[in-house]
Amino acid sequence: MSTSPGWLVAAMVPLLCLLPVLWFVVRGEPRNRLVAQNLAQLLTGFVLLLTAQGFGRSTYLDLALVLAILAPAGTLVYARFLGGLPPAPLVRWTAVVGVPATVLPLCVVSGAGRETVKLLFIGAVLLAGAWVTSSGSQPSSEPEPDGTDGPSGSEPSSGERAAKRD
Amino acid sequence: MTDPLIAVALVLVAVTATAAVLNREPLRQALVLSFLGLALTLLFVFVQAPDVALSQLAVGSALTPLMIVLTVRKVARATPARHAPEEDDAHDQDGEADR
Repeated sequence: MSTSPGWLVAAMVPLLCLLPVLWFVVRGEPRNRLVAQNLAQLLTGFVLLLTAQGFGRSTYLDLALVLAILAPAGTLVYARFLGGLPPAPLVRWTAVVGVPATVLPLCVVSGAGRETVKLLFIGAVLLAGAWVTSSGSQPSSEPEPDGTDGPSGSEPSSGERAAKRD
Repeated sequence: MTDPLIAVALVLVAVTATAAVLNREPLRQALVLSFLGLALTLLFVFVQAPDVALSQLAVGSALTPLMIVLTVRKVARATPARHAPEEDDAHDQDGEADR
């Protein structure tokens, strides 16, 4: 196994982009923190994809796959707890530009086979997740049945529990 | 070539961990902790320990912050009910003020 420095240099680009994102996660407005966290997960996905090729080990792609599946789910859960997710054009454009720019060269290098299918799948999941989370959500204005059911269904039950304890 | 990558990842981990300590509000800390999980994942990948990175990714960047958020929510909901169980209006306003 030999490392190919070109891919690792390419992995340095999204890695360095994480530094300004970290600033927004730590010191930004409460709403922007969640967006910055979302962007950080996307950039980490790019780094993982490029590092897998750089180290010449296709099994490292599993990490990118797990991240691509966990990241949007986690972001949506946070958005629910922190009260809404603002629309984020930066995340959307990073995904639209970055996913093809990362995945297509990797596909060309790896050639036809299982790895290419895996790469395309990871790219599709990353893009879909970023697209969904960057369109934003406002849970207060949504008339979703489970959005209104959750709090109102659990408040009386906790109140009843408190009453029984008394 | 892996040395600069490891150096940048180490800087990320150090800065994020310090920021997580200095942040005093648990909800904001949860997001910083999630970022710390990502940074540690990258560090473990760069030193070629993908199995550790996988568990760090699942636990550090997803599970731990989620549990913190859930705990904060439960505590915030339970605290006003414990203060004044007989005066509904008063403790509701207390809860709003606390949040």
